[in-house]
Parts: sequence; structure tokens; C-alpha cells
Amino acid sequence: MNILELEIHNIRGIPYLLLKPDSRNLVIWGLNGSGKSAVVDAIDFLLTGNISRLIGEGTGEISLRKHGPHIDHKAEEATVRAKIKLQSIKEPIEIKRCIDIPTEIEIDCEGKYKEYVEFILWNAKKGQHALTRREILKYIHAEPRSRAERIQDILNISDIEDIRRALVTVRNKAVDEHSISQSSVGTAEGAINATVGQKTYSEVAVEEFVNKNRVILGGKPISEIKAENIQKGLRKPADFTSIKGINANLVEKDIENIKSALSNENIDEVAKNDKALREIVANIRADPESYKTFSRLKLAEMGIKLIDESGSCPLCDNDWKPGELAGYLQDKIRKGKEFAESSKAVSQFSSAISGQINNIIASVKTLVTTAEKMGMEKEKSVLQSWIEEQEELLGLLSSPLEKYPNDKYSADSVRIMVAPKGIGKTLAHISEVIKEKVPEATPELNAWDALTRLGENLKALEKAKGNFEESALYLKRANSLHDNFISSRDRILGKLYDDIRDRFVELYRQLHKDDEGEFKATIKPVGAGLDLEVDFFRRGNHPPHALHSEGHQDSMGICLYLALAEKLNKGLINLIILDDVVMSIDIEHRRQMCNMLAKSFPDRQFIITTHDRTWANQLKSEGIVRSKELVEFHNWSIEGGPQVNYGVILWDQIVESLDKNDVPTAAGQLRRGLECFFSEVCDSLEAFVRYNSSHRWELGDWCTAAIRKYRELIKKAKDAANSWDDHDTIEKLNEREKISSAIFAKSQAEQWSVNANVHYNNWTNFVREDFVPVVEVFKDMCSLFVCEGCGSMLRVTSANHERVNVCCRCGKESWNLTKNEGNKK
Amino acid sequence: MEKKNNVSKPIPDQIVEEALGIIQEQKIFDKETIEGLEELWRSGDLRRAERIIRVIKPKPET
Repeated sequence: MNILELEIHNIRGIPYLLLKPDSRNLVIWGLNGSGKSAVVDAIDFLLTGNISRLIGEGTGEISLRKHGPHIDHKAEEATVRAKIKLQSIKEPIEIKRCIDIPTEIEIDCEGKYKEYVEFILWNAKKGQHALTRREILKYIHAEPRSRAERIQDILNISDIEDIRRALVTVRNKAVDEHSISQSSVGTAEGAINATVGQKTYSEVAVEEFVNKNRVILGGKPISEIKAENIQKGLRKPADFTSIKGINANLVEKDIENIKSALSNENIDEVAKNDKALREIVANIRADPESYKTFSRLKLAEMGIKLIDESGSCPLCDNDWKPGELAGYLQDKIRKGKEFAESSKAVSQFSSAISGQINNIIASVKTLVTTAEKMGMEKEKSVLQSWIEEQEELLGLLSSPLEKYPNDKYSADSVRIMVAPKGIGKTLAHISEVIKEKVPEATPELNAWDALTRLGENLKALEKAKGNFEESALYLKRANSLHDNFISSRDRILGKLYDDIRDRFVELYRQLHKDDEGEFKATIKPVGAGLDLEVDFFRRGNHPPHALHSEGHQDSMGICLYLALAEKLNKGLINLIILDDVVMSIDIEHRRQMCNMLAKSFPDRQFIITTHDRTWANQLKSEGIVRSKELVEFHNWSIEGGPQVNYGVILWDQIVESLDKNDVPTAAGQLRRGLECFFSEVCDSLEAFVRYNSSHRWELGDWCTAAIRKYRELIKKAKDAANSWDDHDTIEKLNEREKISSAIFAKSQAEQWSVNANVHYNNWTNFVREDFVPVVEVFKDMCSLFVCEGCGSMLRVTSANHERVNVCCRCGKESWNLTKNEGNKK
Repeated sequence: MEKKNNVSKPIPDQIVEEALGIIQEQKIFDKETIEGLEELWRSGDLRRAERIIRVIKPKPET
């Protein structure tokens, strides 16, 4: 995408402005506060719907709607329109945006192109086409993380970080779900243990329990133990004894089960496991690197197999002394394996404690139901609180490395929680009430109720196991998705960063071939950040802002940005805006920068703003822009915005003003145009302009110096031609001298200092008839300094510190200044 | 649009396509899950964890 035409209405400091770069580069120069950056803001707004200067840090009180429009205008009057050219579409397309509805962009093009144009504008919306000095600092001075964010943003790859974050969330949730489902299996097994009266879960013991009760009920033994099978072929015995569905025998069993689990021996075992678990977890946490090493254990094991005889790294190609990398990886593998052992022990100890709690919790839960049925509210409440605390502890034990122990639980409190004080009394009271109020059931009913409860326990276990299998698959998928995404990201981004680094180095070397021709740099992702280090005069790599001068840092910022810009939507958005970015770069390196832009980016359209006239002129003399596309902003005012001087004198505009009898405007246009023109003449002919400390020169300074130099060069050229007996040239130069003298005399420029009546300050007071001849004579005067053929300005060329020639770009004008030393004439 | 194809594929596309290509070969992912993930990427929802979970979490057997 290139800009053909840009029309700004009431944006920031510009009430109205029309620029026509016609897909070519454009340079806008002007002093600070002349309105240059408002053009950048306008383009920014047109392409993105926002003005980046108005958002971000320190802009809390500023809004697009309030501060985007010109101060005297409303949002609905603030618009930017551009005629753009897209590479694959012949016809220009018009786009327009208004601050009143910044999210909407009007696109005026044929329907068939609409989708394509929208696609390009969607890309442009990222706002990656503009580089300001503030942006440079973001690349160079930034912390690795914010540099990575900025670079990822500009490369349109911030999506990748969003996806990574989402995949990490998915993986964490899958891990949690897997732990919970694992814990649920333990709880379900605990409930079976409580029913069957076993300490640890055993399928054989369950089968024996089922068949023992089936025999009591007159049934045959079975071998396939499933919830739906265990009461198959049995009849429920008559029940005349149970109250509210409570089986006194089962309640007593639950109480016995809890008492047994709370025996001193068992509680001591819980305390022992808890102590061991705390110690291992503390050791692991004291060495955070060990987890990282463990997570990369497989990678290290694979890596060590890939090392060849040279010993260099097969992944990053860095050189290692033979055996050094292998030793380094072996150490990592050893640490990783140590961690694996510790991790296994953590799992064993936490499972042992969880199993103990699960065995208790299942029986306590059935006692809660019994207490509720019997109206024993106090006991129910005590038991429920106990369950809640135990479940909380189970939650911590499900991910011990991350969660266990927390501040709430000291070693003693875990012991108390597993066996709270006074619980024996509660259990004894429930037992008494049941014995008193619920009659003893028959052995058949006890058997039937035991199988009924076991059936419920088995159903819960089957469901928990099903959930566990699903969660295991879910976890595998989440891990695989995350790991593969990360490895693809690292591979592709690694290649991308290498390419950018190479191009960055190449561009920087172009700029600094005189002082840093051997420059090197590294760009590498570190965690979520991006490390940038640069070579400092072959004294090793350092952060870019550590040792290099500000000018060098600015060069680096520009080169890095341009290297990145090449990777952006190649062929889609060719526009690059450089907003006052060479502030700290010295004049010689600016010249190199011109060469670099011309040589390395011939297909890009640059819009460059600067407050530096010398840089603006360099951009022109080095061919980055033509005179027509070098515009000067000056005399900015709130009501009128910047006055614009278009680099070449716009004779048509002057004539237009004169046609309207507006001599003051025509005089202003002529004066600004001539000032600009003659400043360039002085530069190209190396004329001496009287120095002043304010560094501000007027038309009188430029014009008289240019005339003086012109006369001097003709004289020199005539002397040289004479020494070579080149009569034709002498004749031509005489003719030129005659014509130029007549024009200079007519202009009265050389009398400005002695005759105030003819001074250009008085032009504004002239009447039209008096001013038209002034315009004509200066038009003639300007033509003296420009080649008729190619239109380029005459320029002095040197060799070995000697001025040897005055010539134009095409060679039609060429005045030799070197004398024939052999001819003594 | 023809010109679109001449533009190098965006980096995120390259990464996601490569990663999905690899997991396609793994038995833990069925065709439906892969298609679901591709659809998430196309619709810009691959950055939303809850959408990813809905796609990759095995459906409970009824």
C-alpha cells in the first residue's frame, strides 16, 4: 500500500492540508511545533482508527475524541482521506475516516476488491508502519520482556503469546482436574474399605466380602464384582426392624472403622508420613532450578546423544570445548534424576496420608446421614466440620509440590485434624443412641444392607475411575498441545529472529562501515523476553544502551525497526513513517542512512519528518526525495495550521495569488520559495553565507551569496577554458555571464542591502503590476542555477580537496574548473 | 485473492499449522478433535482456554 494523496481536515494542529506524494517518498521538515507530527498522527488515525501518541503511559486524561480533532473543531469535522495504491489493483482506492466514528473506515472501491482492501487495512490497523524516537527507545532501552512484546506486536505475532497463555491455562486446568479425579478414586476406594472393613483397597478382599454376604442370603458366589452384579439373583429379606432405613450393624461398623483408623498407631503413621513429606517438599522448594532441570530431563537425555566429536552444541551451534557440553548435560541429567526420585517419594507419602483420610471420611459421611435421620444436629455439625477440614487437606495433598503444607497446617494441626479432640465422645454418643433406638437387624438384612452400600460404593468407584481415565487423556492432550506449540514456536521464531538479526547487522554495518564494519549482534528469546546484545568494538557483547553512544543507539533502533519492517506483510503495506528519528545521529552517518534507504529499500514509500534542515536537504541531494516531495512546514498558527512550502517554487500558485490580486500571499510564496531554493544553491555550489549564531538566514543572505559564488565559478571556468584554449566554452560562458548579469541586475538583489525600496521586505506593499516583473525576473534567475535538460541543480564537484567541476546530474552542464598547468597563459 | 497467496504466511499461522500437523500423528487425538482445533484457530478462538478445553476434553461416555 502506498499513499498517492492525503487530505487532512481538522486533525490535531492542522485545519486543512493536502499532500500529494504520488506513491513517492515524502519529507516534511520544519522547526519544532510546526505541525509535522500532526501529519503522522493523521496517517496513524486513518490506518488504525487511533492516534498512538494519545494512548499509553501518561495519557490518562487524553482522549481521541477530545484531543484528536483540531482545538477549534468537533469530532465530526475531523477527517482524514487518502487516495492509496495497492500493489495488485490498478485503480487508486479512496479511504476516509472520521474521529466521530473512529472504528469505521469508508472504502471507495469496486466490490470485487473490497475483501482484499479490508484485509490490508486489517493488517495496517496494527500500526506497525510508524517509527518515532520514542519507539526506538522501546527497542533499545527496553527490558527483554517489553522488547519482546513490542517486537512481537510489530511482527504481528503477539497472537502467539496469547495462545501460549491459553494453552498454559488449559494445561494447568487439566493437571488440577487430573489430581481431583485421582483423589476421587482414592475417596471411592476409601468408602469401599470402610464398608468391607479393610485398611487398604484390595479387589480380592471385596470379592470375599461380596460372596460371604451372598452366602448368608442364599446366593451363589460370583467372580465378576460390579455394582450391578453383587445383588444379582438375591431377594431382599423382609425388614421389620430398621428405623428410617438405618442399619444399626452398619453404623456400628462405621464407628469401629473410624476408631480403628484413629488408633495411636495409625495416627503416628500419619504424623510420620507428614513429617517426611514436609522435609522433601522443603528441599525441593529450596532448589527451584531442580524442577526446571527435571522438566528438561528428556531434552538433556536426547541432547547428550546428539553431541558429535567436536563437542559443539547441536541445537545452537555454539562452540564448547570437547567433553565440556557432555559434562554439563550429564550434571543436568543427574540433577533431573535426583528430582525424579524426590518427586516419587512426595507422591508416595502424600498418597499414604490421603488413603488414611479417605478411609475415615467415607465412614464419617455415612454417620452424618445417620445423625441427620436421628435428629442429632450437634453431632451432625461436628462431623460435617471434620469432613470439610479433611477434604481441604486432601485438596492440598492432591498437588503437594504446589500446595502442601500451607500456613494453616502445622505438623501438630494435621495430626489433630485427622483425629480431632473429643471426636471419640461424639462417636460414643451416636453409638449409644443407635443401640437404644434402632433394633438389631437379622443377619440376612445386615448382609443385604452391606451389599447395597457396597453397590453404591462400587458405582462411585466406577464413575471415579471413568473420570480419571478421561482426565488422563485430557491431560495428555493438553500437554501435547502445549509442548508441540512451544517447540514449533521456538523453532519458527528462532529462525525468524536469526533472519532479523542478520539483516539488522547488515543494515547497521552499512551505516557504520567506517567505525563498526565488523559489528555483530545476538537476538535470542529468553523465557517470555527477548535479549538483544551487540558487539562493542570487538570487546564482546553488551546490551545496546550499555556502551554505545546515543547516536549509535538511534542507528540501531532504526536498523532493527527496518529489519523488522521487512518481515511485515511484505508487499501489502510498503509505507514506512520515520518521525524525527535521526536526532542523535551525526551528519556523516545520516548520509550513510540516505544511501541505506535508497539501496536497501527501493520499493518502500518513506514519509520522513524532521526538524533538521540539513538532513532534509541530504535526503534530497542523495535522491531519497525530489524537490517536489520535500515540503517545509513553517509559521504554524492555531487558526491556519502550518504554512507549507513545497520545496520547489510553485510558480503556478504565485500566479494564482496574483490573479486574485493577492500580492501579500504571492510575495510570501515567492520569498519562502526563493529562500528554500537559494539555500540549496548555496549548499550545492558551496557558497559562503555570512555566519550568524542564531543559525537563521534570510533570502538576502542566501541569494547574494549564491550570486557571488555563481559569478566566481563562471570566472574560474573561463580561466580554465582559456588555459586549455577551449574557445567554444569561453564563448558559451561569456554568453551565460552576459545573460546572468542582466538578470541579476534586473532583480536588484545585490542592492537589497543599500536600497530599502527594492528590498524583498517591501514586496508585500507592491501593487500587482509592480510585482509581476519581480516574479518573472526571479523565475529567470532560478533557471540559471538549474540544468535545462535534467532539471537538477548545478553542483560543484571536488577531487583531492580541489573543486574540479560544476555540473548537473545528466552532464549537459559541465564547467571544468581545472586549469592546464602546462599552459602559462 | 491471488495476491494474498504471494504474501508469506503470517508467523502465528506457520506455528499453529506445524504444531497441529505434529499432533495429528498422535493417537491421543481423534479426527474430530483436530478439526475442532483447526476451527478454533480459523475463528481466532485458539487464544481462549475455555474453548480449547471444550474441544480437547474427552466427552463422558453415556
